[in-house]
Amino acid sequence: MKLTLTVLALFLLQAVIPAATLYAQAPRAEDENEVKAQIILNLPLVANWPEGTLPDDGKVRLCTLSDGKVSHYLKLMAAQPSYADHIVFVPHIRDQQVRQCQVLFFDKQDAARMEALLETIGQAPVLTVGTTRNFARQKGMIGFLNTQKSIGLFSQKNVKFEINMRQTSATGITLDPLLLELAEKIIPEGGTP
Amino acid sequence: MKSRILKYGVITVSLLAFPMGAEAAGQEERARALSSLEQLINQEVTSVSKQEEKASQAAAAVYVITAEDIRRSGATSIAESLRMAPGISVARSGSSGWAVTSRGFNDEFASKMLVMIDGRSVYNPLFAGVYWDVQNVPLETIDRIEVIRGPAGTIWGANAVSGVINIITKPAEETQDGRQDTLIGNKDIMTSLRYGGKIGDKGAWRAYGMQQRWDEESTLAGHGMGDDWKNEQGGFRADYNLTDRDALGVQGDYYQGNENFLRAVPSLIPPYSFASDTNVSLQGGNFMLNWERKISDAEHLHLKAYYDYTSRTRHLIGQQQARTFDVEFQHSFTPQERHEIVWGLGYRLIDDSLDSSPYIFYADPSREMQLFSAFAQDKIALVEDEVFLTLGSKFEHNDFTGFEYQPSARLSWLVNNNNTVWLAVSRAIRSPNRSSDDTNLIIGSVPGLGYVALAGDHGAESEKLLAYEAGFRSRLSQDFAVDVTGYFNDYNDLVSSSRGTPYISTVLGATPPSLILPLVPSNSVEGHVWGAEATANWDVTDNWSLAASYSYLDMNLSGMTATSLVTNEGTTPQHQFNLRSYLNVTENVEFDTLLYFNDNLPAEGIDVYTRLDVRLGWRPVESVEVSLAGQNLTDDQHPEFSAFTYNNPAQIGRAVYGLVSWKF
Repeated sequence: MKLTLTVLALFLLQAVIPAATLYAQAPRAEDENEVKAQIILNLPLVANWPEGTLPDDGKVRLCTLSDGKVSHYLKLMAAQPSYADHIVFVPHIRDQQVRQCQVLFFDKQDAARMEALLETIGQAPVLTVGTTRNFARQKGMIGFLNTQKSIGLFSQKNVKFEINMRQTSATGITLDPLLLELAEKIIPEGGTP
Repeated sequence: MKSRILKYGVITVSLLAFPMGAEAAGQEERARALSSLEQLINQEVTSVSKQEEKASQAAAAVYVITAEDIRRSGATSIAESLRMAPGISVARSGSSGWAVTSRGFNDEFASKMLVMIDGRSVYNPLFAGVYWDVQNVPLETIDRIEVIRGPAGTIWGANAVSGVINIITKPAEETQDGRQDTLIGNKDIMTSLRYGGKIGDKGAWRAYGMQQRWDEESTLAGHGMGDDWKNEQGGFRADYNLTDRDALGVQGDYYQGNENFLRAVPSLIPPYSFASDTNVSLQGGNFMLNWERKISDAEHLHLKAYYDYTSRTRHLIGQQQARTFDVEFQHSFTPQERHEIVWGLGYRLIDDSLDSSPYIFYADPSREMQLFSAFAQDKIALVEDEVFLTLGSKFEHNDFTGFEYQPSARLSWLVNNNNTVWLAVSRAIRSPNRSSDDTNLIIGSVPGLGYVALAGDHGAESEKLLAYEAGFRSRLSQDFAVDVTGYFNDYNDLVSSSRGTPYISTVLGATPPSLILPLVPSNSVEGHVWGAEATANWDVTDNWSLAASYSYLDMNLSGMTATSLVTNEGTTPQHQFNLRSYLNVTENVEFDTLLYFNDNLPAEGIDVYTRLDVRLGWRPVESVEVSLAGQNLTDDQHPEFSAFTYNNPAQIGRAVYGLVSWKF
């Protein structure tokens, strides 16, 4: 009996180890906040603001409110030439100046200010992006979601986003249709997701 | 993964359809941005801080039973839900009795498995082992059950020898609003009500009440066992963020219940035993306080304190009460890039009061026992993000054996996100307890001679284990994962029992004085237990998933005596297998099947049995779930374990129930 089990175990190991090695090419997990920052920095390239609302230099003002984790990565990466060509990073924007931004990011610690600031923005063409819970369902435009797929003890987290089309349309901002395809959920102009 | 946007044709169409403002980006840049965005949403991310470890990377035989597993298993108690864990032996000995352990030595009082609820030990300090009948919380409030097979004494201390089970309930924030569950079946009836709310914008609370009634099981002859029982329980939990860094949690439970047994009580008069209806009155409660401070992502403090009261009052035995006060402090930090250190201090005070009776006698009716502990563990990154060596030890001082140490060394190699290989060497101990120290319990009689008593012994030493483990865990694809563990356990000083010097006692047998034939514990047994456990999880489709596990165990002990009652081979199945299928028939209909195979238990006189559980769930509206479940469908009834001392063996019968869950 012991011999049979040993042979069985060796057979299983022989089958499993090469297969595992083949699947070993997966990249290591990245910091969730860094990935969110990269997504935000790519958004100006797939969004279109109403005619004449961009600053004279044609560059998008990407504003943050505080020193959160995502904001930290935004600050580091926005200075890179590939982003600096079309983005001007504006940290710690004052509440009364938020309408001057083209993209405004709400980090986790900005949750308490969110409602009032969204009220201030009203229908100004400011693409609001947030990482607070249910951001896109609370009058924000693009809200991050964390999804998780588990198999056995393994779990894989991904950063996804949902888009509130009702809010974006009201401000005249248009988004690339392919961006909408990438969204996990769309809150349509006239209803709920 | 199939790209959703990067097909040439799609991009061309998209560029035409989306008139781009020239100010922001050219078409090439836009295509590049979309490509980056697609890669980013498919990129695996982590938000795990340095001090938290992914379960898939643990250098231990870990298994997690999720809330979803519990719900879909149809289990109606915590003990029953543990059947799903690989390598865990769950055998029901009667309506209210379960024997649960891993890697050998199963018993109703399985003494080598430590069990906790939210970090509060429910390991009975008087008799060792766990009274599973009083470990009840509404199953829907359980977040997960973490099961570690193998020793974990370095962190958890004495009695975490063959495994640790930690039942973790959901934070109060995740159990808001109301929920009512009503279960009606041929074997049990249960109802629970839970309600939760916010505490401002910084906290949340919940409170619950539940009542359960369980029907009797059958004797081998097919008669009623008379072991029906009921339990009523209430509890609460509140979590509050004092500041951005400080979190406070308070929780507590109170229960009371009644159980019945038909016991065969030893006697010196022919036929040398008599049946006695035994009523057991149960009562208990606990209160726990948790404070956590997050100093930084890499540094945390945790202070936990709890009080636990448990009482059992039994006919012929009397009342046994234990009050436990426990306080533990833990600090985790990273002094250098490659070191993650956790250290802690603990103190436990157990105060008991135990009635003596004609059948049980304690030399000391009330005692206070203290346990002092300290531990330290360093996780060293030998190769950054790839190879980790974890070294640590627990040091304890208990009132029975004095100073004890439980070191371990664990090596893990994270080949990548999908593969982990690990090795471990650990020492663990099972310490003596109040009953093995100074109890005399009548367990039988010798016709014409006298009573046989299980006697306590002040000189008992700890049982010791040196364990060698190796494991391999692999996610072979996004939908298939395997986990294989092998172990070799080298035991020393295991407790057996040998004949002591007979004496005459008027205390145990009341009048007239009787001859007592004591069985005295001795640390005379040593031996090896080795085995392997394997699990596989496969998401066959988006709507169908399978999980299977197999475990093999081989035990070889020496130094047993003919009168050994405590340590035996053949109380744990050599082969165990389970297969689970979760099928989402439609968005609102679930069909789940669970198959369990258990090898025979020669020491218990239990044959091989296979158990089939089936559940059909239907969610007609978002707030209501209706389910119909059948358990033990393969046969009318079968015995799973013979009961301890006076109890008669029971056959566990087929059960069918309906459950309605309503959220409001």
